[in-house]
Amino acid sequence: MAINLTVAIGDWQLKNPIMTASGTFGYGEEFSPFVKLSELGGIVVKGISLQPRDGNPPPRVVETACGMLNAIGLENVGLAAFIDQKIPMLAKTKADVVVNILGDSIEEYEEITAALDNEDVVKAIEVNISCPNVKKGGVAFGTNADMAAKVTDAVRRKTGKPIIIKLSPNVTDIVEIAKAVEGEGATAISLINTLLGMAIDIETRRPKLANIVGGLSGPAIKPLALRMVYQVASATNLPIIGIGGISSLEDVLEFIIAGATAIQIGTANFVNPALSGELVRGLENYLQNKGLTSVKQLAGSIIT
Amino acid sequence: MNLPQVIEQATLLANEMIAPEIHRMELHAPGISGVAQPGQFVMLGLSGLDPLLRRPFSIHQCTDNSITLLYKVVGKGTTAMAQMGAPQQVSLLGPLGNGFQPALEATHHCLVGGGLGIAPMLFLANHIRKSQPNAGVTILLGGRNKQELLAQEEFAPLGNLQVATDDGSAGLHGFVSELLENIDRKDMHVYTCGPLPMMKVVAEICRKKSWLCQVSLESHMACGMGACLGCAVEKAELRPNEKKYVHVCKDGPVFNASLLWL
Ligand SMILES: Cc1cc2nc3c(=O)[nH]c(=O)nc-3n(C[C@H](O)[C@H](O)[C@H](O)COP(=O)(O)OP(=O)(O)OC[C@H]3O[C@@H](n4cnc5c(N)ncnc54)[C@H](O)[C@@H]3O)c2cc1C
Ligand SMILES: Cc1cc2nc3c(=O)[nH]c(=O)nc-3n(C[C@H](O)[C@H](O)[C@H](O)COP(=O)(O)O)c2cc1C
Ligand code: FES
Repeated sequence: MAINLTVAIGDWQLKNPIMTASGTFGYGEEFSPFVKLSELGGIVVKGISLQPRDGNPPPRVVETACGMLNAIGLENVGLAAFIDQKIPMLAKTKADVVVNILGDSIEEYEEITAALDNEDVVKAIEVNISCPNVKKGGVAFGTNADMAAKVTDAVRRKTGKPIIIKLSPNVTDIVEIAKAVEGEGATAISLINTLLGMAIDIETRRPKLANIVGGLSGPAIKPLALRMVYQVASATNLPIIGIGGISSLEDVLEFIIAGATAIQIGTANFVNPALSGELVRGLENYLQNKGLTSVKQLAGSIIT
Repeated sequence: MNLPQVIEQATLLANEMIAPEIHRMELHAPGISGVAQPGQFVMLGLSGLDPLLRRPFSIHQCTDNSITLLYKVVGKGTTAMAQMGAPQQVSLLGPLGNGFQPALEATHHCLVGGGLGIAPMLFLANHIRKSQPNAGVTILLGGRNKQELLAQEEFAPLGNLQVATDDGSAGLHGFVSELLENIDRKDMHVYTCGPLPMMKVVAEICRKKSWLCQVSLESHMACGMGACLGCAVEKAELRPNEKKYVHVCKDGPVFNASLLWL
């Protein structure tokens, strides 16, 4: 029997629940030798800001036990170059593209969303709210329920496309933030972004990253991400996109069973650039072997 | 110039220690060896969660069907590599990055390798010998001591070989850059790989003597293929409208020195 892998995020029908995470998949093209981009549920491109950003000084990445720290500093080509150069290239791949956006003010998020609203290739907008709000003393939008709600409401008014709010795990109560963005019309929630961490070189006594602190990702963060996905899925009615350390089919299944509608592969793309495509086939085979006909039969099927 | 990249399940053919902490690994990898250019690198997979990420290594030697890596044991990943044995399968991602571009018009090539920077120079020297049999080639190798002057026997037939050591245990007692300084030629093309301070001195000598100089950089890498933006290196001075950073894995690892350091 044919296996139904499709899932929905608002009006957007995904071919399957396997997506790739922002900042770990370039603009897609880098991976085309290894993955047929149009076979994935969706690809999320590197976060885009209004103006190009140079990013942080090196070293920007360092490996830690079962994971890595990064302080890329949101280097990106900027909105104008993204629309001129990257959108036409992405259109050719026939991939379903999600654009991850970032800003240091509500107005910046609004302006980027409005510009992307005209682009057919863009199936949804993922809003990275882990960035500091420069006007509010640099507190990250995503660490305050009120500010998270305001960004959600602002971008909501600028587009009819599905809006995915990407939550930061660096908070005391993730459910509070999730409910706040649900209340302002988010279409879906993706989580988690990286956890703030650091590493020190004991010989030089200097931080291993030039930025001193950076975002932890990879298998090390998976149990924490899974717990947060479970909590948010239990407390809201929105589709959830699970992210955090996913590296194998077992990991994908755990997140789906915990309540994720879809998942994103991040750091694991670096270890195996072909992984996302392999997981689509792996998921299909798994369902077939289990006598299931649709991935939806698995979603949120956790027994507690 | 990025050539086709593959993930290849290579078969380990040999993995031996050739000097204290220095090992040489040969891998059957026809998919990569068939298209690799000197100066390009591979990301070697360690197939576990810790160490997690692939590790970058220059291609030291390349035949029709195999590539050789020359590596120093410095941490978790290279320690694990040193324990691998034939006929183990090893996942390689490559060939990656932009390699050296040997000048076709140059009458004389000079290869300057310091420490582990010697690694990519053997592939380059062989390539130049094959593609330009009549061109003059000088090879300058430097290391802290005699043991660090790797692969001398392989280099010897490929050009005029000169060596320098910090402790004077072989060749010139001093830096390899002094050997370069002593060369009296008008037209020469220089290729270098080694510790950053050494390469900066080499580039400065080349600038003064009006020799073109290509340098091979390293940086911490997560992906090796332009996706993570982790491998940024700052340019010393910027021309107008230039970006502040280059990315070693996709803009390099080989750069014209004048692009980085003016
Ligand atoms: C393009 C490129 C080509 C390279 N070619 C060679 C080669 O031919 N032979 C060789 O021996 N090494 C080469 N290196 C360096 C090699 O990748 C590192 O030595 C290796 O990744 C260390 O892994 P580890 O797990 O053993 O060390 P880790 O435990 O990760 O680190 C141990 C120490 O090595 C340093 N280190 C880690 N990664 C790098 C890196 N990418 N560059 C420099 N220092 C690093 C760390 O800061 C730390 O001090 C190359 C690096 C690059 C970027
Ligand atoms: C190098 C790197 C760059 C990233 N850049 C972004 C980004 O621009 N925007 C964003 O929302 N998340 C970014 N992330 C976070 C990932 O999308 C993902 O949420 C996180 O890495 C956790 O997933 P993982 O453990 O599977 O990597 C980045 C992560 C890494 C490792
Ligand atoms: S190592 Fe990832 S972009 Fe260079």
